[in-house]
This record gives sequence, structure tokens and C-alpha cells, in this order.
Amino acid sequence: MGNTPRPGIGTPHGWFFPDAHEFPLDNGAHVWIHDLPGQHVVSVAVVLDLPASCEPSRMEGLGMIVARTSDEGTLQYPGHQLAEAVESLGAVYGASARMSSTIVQMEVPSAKLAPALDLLAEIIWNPAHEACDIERHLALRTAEIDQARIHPGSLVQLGLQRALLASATRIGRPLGGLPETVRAITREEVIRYHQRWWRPDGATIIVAGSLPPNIDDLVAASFAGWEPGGRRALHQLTQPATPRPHAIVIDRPEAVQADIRIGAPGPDRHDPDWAALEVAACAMGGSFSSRLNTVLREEKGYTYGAHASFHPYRNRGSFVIQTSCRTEVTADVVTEALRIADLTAAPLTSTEIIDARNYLLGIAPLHFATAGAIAGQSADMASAGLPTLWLNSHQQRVAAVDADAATESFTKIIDSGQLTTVICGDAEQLVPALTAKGLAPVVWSSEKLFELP
Amino acid sequence: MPFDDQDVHYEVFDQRLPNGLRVVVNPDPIAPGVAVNLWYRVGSSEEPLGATGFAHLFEHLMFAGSANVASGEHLAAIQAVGGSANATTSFDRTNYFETVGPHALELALWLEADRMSTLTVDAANLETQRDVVKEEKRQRYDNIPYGDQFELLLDLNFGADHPYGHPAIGSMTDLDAATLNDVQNFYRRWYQPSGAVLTLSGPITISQAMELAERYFGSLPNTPVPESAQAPPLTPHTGHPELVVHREVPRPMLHLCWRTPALTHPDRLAVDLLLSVLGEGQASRLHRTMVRDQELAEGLGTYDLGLAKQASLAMITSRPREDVNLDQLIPPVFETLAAIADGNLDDRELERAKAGYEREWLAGLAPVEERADQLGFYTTHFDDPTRINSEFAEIQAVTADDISAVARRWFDPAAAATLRYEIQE
Repeated sequence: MGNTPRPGIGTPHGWFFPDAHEFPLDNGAHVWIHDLPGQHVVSVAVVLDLPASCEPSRMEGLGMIVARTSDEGTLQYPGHQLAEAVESLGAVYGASARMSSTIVQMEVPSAKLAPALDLLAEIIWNPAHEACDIERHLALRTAEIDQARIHPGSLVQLGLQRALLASATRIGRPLGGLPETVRAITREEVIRYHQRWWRPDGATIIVAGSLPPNIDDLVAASFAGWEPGGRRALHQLTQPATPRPHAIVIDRPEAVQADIRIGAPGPDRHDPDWAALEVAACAMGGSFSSRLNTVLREEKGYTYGAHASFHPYRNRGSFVIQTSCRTEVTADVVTEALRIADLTAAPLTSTEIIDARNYLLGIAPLHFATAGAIAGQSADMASAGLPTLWLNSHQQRVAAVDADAATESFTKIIDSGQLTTVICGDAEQLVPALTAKGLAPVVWSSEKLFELP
Repeated sequence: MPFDDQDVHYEVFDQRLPNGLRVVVNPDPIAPGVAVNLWYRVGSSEEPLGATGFAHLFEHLMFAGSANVASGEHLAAIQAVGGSANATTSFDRTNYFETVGPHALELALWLEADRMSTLTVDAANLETQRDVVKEEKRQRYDNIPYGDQFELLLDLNFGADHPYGHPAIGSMTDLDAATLNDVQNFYRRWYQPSGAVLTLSGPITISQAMELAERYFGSLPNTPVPESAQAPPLTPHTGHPELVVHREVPRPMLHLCWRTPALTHPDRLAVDLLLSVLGEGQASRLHRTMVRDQELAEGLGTYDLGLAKQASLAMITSRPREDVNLDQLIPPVFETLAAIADGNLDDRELERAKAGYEREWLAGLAPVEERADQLGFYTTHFDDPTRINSEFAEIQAVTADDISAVARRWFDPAAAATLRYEIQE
């Protein structure tokens, strides 16, 4: 081989996130329609304006239980009949409670969209919430927490949340609740929460796929009878933890690997620096050739992968470096990662920024090639209180980021000397090694993460 | 069917280059990117004892440099043009793929051709990638609860000396023994145009695709690759093989396993539908009985590995609720299988399974990268990429009697093997 020269690269086609046809319903819900010819599976997402802070604090995890029990039977389709009706259409249903919203979803072949919309509306309005189903889901949630107690990925995430965010605000406490709060959930509260909050006020109904010409009428007819509750939820302002610990080891004796998160509070998508931060994080740890992955994986063989990214919440957010490695190199990995996070010493270069920009701009059309991905992005926007086409203006800002802007924005917002390191692993080995590197961690038992703050 | 009542049909073109490279093209003018997908007919089942994990280690090394491409440059170059690239290794094949905008298609082809014709791994990056694979194994298997189940299941059902008896990640001791010489030998043995299927799916015409395939791969030599190793024929289990392990986990788990027909066997689609009827969705038989009505299980799943050589492996996996022991999970599974074998299957159950299959089928083939992968699969295992347009009709034609027949043939309770994953007290 070798006789075919390396080809040049053409000019990429311009791309825009697909337009939505938008209209309001009389009950206060907004409808976003993405008609996508050729997408034969239609994705429907109903985003309820329902932050987890609406839960009674002694029953946190309630929103998750309300979501999970929503398809265990309805007034019109009791018990098994609901699952049979959904699956007869070839549809799949799911509901998930997040920090800033609850999202109710259905995917269905386009020929069955009309009856699927009616079923989705029935599930949203009239879940039966039978006592036996609620008890079963509470037991399953408790079992899930028991699994999290020994899972390193769950432990390090819970530890990071507790280390970065003030536990006085809902976002600083576990989304699915703690054993004590899950135990306190009653059927009465499940029904009350559903009646009060699964309402069209502030909700967004998103439909994406190959759609029939009368789609507006279908949606309006299916959801017209959904009655508003007359209340809107309040969204709490995210508060960082103060003081923020420097380094924490969550002890998992005899772990063969250490799961590492290094993070700090960050901004959200409204921040004027958001595009520059995304590009900077991509060059630092968002691609295979990023600094973190190049050093920690490709040069040193310390890890299967190392990543960095900003995570936006509805308001404010966080910056997180994530990796895992064998116990004996953990202190070196943390030291290296902290060095790489300090851009004042080594500003990002033009080449790095051009590659990061091209990656972020070019991967979008490939990522958003299906109805499910487009409905998912619009649902994220609705959850964040942003318009469906936010991505288009964001992409324009990404295209304008240069190396100076990326470095300056990052160093302005992230003080690499104030990052918090959270490691789940074998404390007996990790603490002396980290201490020798000047990191002197505090040790948390994993049990601490499952107790009320 | 979609609302416009037209059959979903994919245009497929299939031709070999003179050097044996099989090129499959699926033009899709409205797709945003082109998927480039290479299936090499070598997976972990070709590894001899003492050299396990080699096919997968090799997957890493294929990113570690070729004549005109530096170590790590392949992925970096694809991402820098806004594309994605990766690779996976399984029992019967290794798969390399990129998705790029049409403007960068030729770069992807050139990169793939360069590493199909040369590999320039040195001692240093062999050592580094060996360490990376060890971290991958720790991350995905050794450091997580229940992480050794897959290895135990393969050993129980195939035996360590069978080609399917070990997972693709392999033994780290074996990897430590691998030399640069082994790497080059493995490479030249399997990585040849005649051992590969190149699929292109996206906004490209057939003539453009064939011209580019010829331009970038046409000069590579035609060197034969070995026939696939034939696994010894396996019959259903006898004598109730059982493996019991004790681990530090919060709940025990039960796996009931059957040897099933290989993926090209005529019973294959009926086996898949039987597994859906049993465990796919909340209205499925076992979910309804064991999770919802009798409250015996936290959850359950039904799977088949879809293996190509002589036999495959199906599993029904469940985790008991607190205060339920593993023995209580067995009778409902066996009774349900016996009932279906006796012809007790409601047509509506089968219709639900088919409707769910239709959605998964349509959604799975929507993005070009998954469609290209499926075309590589059909071409490699069925010698027929156009199966992408006929398999759905075959699924629709499966009857309740067919399901009962495969339950009798392949899922006899007496032919089950059991993995009991118990709590270490």
C-alpha cells in the first residue's frame, strides 16, 4: 500500500437542529412538533415542569416512585391490561424524575401513533396507583439503594454531589432519596403528588418522527382534556457546598481500582462563557486526543479513559474530570489530572481549539440523526427552560471560540487550585499515597452517603 | 408499518473487489453522515488456549499506528473532522467503524486501508495498550459487583477449552505473554481484504462508493485468510450442570441456561421470539408472573448471545426479592416453558412480541452506523446483506406452533444448566 496519498478534507455541509412547529394548548401546555420524514419510530416526550424540590423533604425519592408506578395500571386499563395495551402497539413507555423536571416518554411505530398518544394521556391523567404496586416499587427502590452501597460508580457520584453542592438545596441530595426518606413514602402522598404536579401548567409535549398531516389535531385531541392545576413549581437556586473539601476518599476496602472524580461548581448554559467553556473542556478531556486522555491513557497506560466536561443544571452546574485507574498509580493520576486542569501554566493552543470546535460542530448532525435523539434534546431544552432551537445559536458561538477565549474563560471560572477530588477505593492504600503527594484526604465511610446530611 | 403504509426497504449493493474485499453499499441520500464499517471475521473464538484476549488486545493495537498514521492519530484525525470512530470485539468477529460527514469519507477510507495493509506497533505501545486493556478489565469486570458472571456462565455452558469458553477480554496472564512477533503473525493471518466486509451507508451513490473502495483498497494483495475454526458440535445439556459461587453482593442471582441453535439455524427467529414472549416488557409471561403477581423477583431478563458456530447460549436471569431464595425462582420458569411447549400460547402474546420487535427493528436501523453494522452482520454470517429486507417478513411468519416447537426442542427443563450466584455470609 502507501501508493494512495492521504486525501484532503472537503467542506462540511452546514447543519441546523431541525425546526419545531410550536403551538400552545388551552390548558397551558406547549407543543413542539418535529416532522422528520424517514423516521418510522416516533418519539413522544412530555416534560413536566416539576423539579425534585417539590417533594416533601421527609419523602425524597417520591417523584421517582410516582414516575415508576405510573404505568402499573390506569382507571381505564387496570393491572396487566395497561402493559398489554402499550405493548400491543409495539410501543415502549418510560417515565423518569430528574432534578429539574419529570419526563414521560413513549416510542411507537408511526402507524400506531394516534392510539399511543391516547394511551400516554391516559397514563398521565389516570394512573391507578394501587397499594400493592406502590409497595412493590418501594421495595425495589430499597433494593436498588442496597446495590448502590457497593457499586463504585454510584458511590463516587454520590460523594461528588455531597462534596460540591450544599445539602440545604434539593440538588445537593440524592435524586432517588435515602433509605429513611424512601421508607416514609406512602400511597396517600404518591396520589397527592401526582394530582398536584402531573399537570399541563408549564408542561411541554414534544413529538418527533415521521408524522401524519393532522398531527396538530391528534395531539390537541389527545391532551385537550388534561386539566391545569393552577400552580407553577418554583425552581431553587443551586448552591455550592461551603466550605468545599479538598480531597475525599470513600473507603471501599480491597477495591482493585480507584474511581476518581475531580470537580468544582460551574455555570449553566445561560453563562456568556458557556460555549468557550465547552470547547475548552473538549480540548482538555472531551475527545480521544484531549490532554487528559493522551497523557493518562495513551502515554502512560494508567486508565481505560479520562474525560472532562461541564454539566449544566437548570441553573448553575458543575465541572467534572472523570477517570478510574489501578490503586497503585492513583496518586500519580490525580497529580497529573490536576496539573492538566491548570491552564495558566499551559494555555490551550490554536490547533487544539480548531480540532475541538470541529469535533463539537461536526458530531452534532451525526448525534441528532434519529427521532429519539431529537426528542431527547428538545426535552433537555424544555427541562432547562430554554427554547427548542437553542442549540443553533450555541453552535454559532462555538464556531467563534478561539484559543485565547477558551483558556481565559476556563481559568476565570475554574480555579484549578480549588478543585475537589473524590475517590472511591481502598483507603488503606490510597490515603498514604495521596498524603505523600500533599493531598491529605479525609476518609468517608460509604454508609455516610446513605444517611441524612 | 409506518403511517404512509409503505414497506421500509433499503437499497443494497454487494460486490467483491478482485482482492477479495467484500463491499456492501446502502445509499441513503437524506442521512447526515456516512457510516464506514469493517467486519473482520476473527473474534475471541479463534484464540487458542494460552492466547486468550488476543483478538481484543489487537483491537486496541489497530489504533496504535500504521505506515502513514501515528499511534492514536486515527481516532484524533476522525474526531478533528467532526466524526466518530471506535471498534468492538466479540466471539465471532472484530468490528471497526467510523461515521463522518461526506466531506471526510475519503479520510476514513484511507485510514482504514492504511491499517489493513500495515501495522507498526512497537514494544512501547504494545506495553501501554496491554496496561490499558488491564484497566478496561478492572473497570468493566473486576471492580464491580457481579462482574465475573459472564466468565462463569461461559465456563459453565461451554467449558474452558471450547472456543466460546472464555470472554473476549481474556486472561491477563495470556496477554502478558504476547510478543510483538505474535502480534504481527495474528495481524497477517486475519487482517486481509479477503477476510473483511466493508459496508458504506449514507449519502453516497453506488458508483461513487465502488470507485472509492477500489481507489483506497484495490491495491492491497489478495491473501487468503484461514477458514473459521469449527467449534465441536454441542448438544443440549444433560445431567443438570450447576455452578455455585459465593460473593459479597447484596442479593443473590440465578441464571438458568440452555444451549440454543447457532444464529443461522432455521429455529433462530422462533427462539428469539420465545425469549421475548417470556421476558421482554412488563406484559411478558415471566415478568407478569414472577415480578408482578407472585412478587418473587426484583427483575428478570431473557437473553441469547447469538453465537455463530454450532451452538449459542440462552439465559433466563433473575434476582430474588428479599426473603425469597433462589430455589423459589426455578419452578415458575420451568412451568411456563412446559406450558408453552404444550401449546399454551395466546396469539396476542405472540403479536405483542412481534410488535415490539418491529419497533426495535425500525429504530435500530434508523441511524446509518447501526444499519451498516447490521449489513456487515448479515454479509458475514448469512452471506447475504439483502437479508436486511427479508428478515422482518420471516419474523412475521413465525407461528405460535413454531414457538411451542422450539420450546420443546431447545428449552427442556432437563437440559438447563444453572449458575447460582449466592451471597457470601
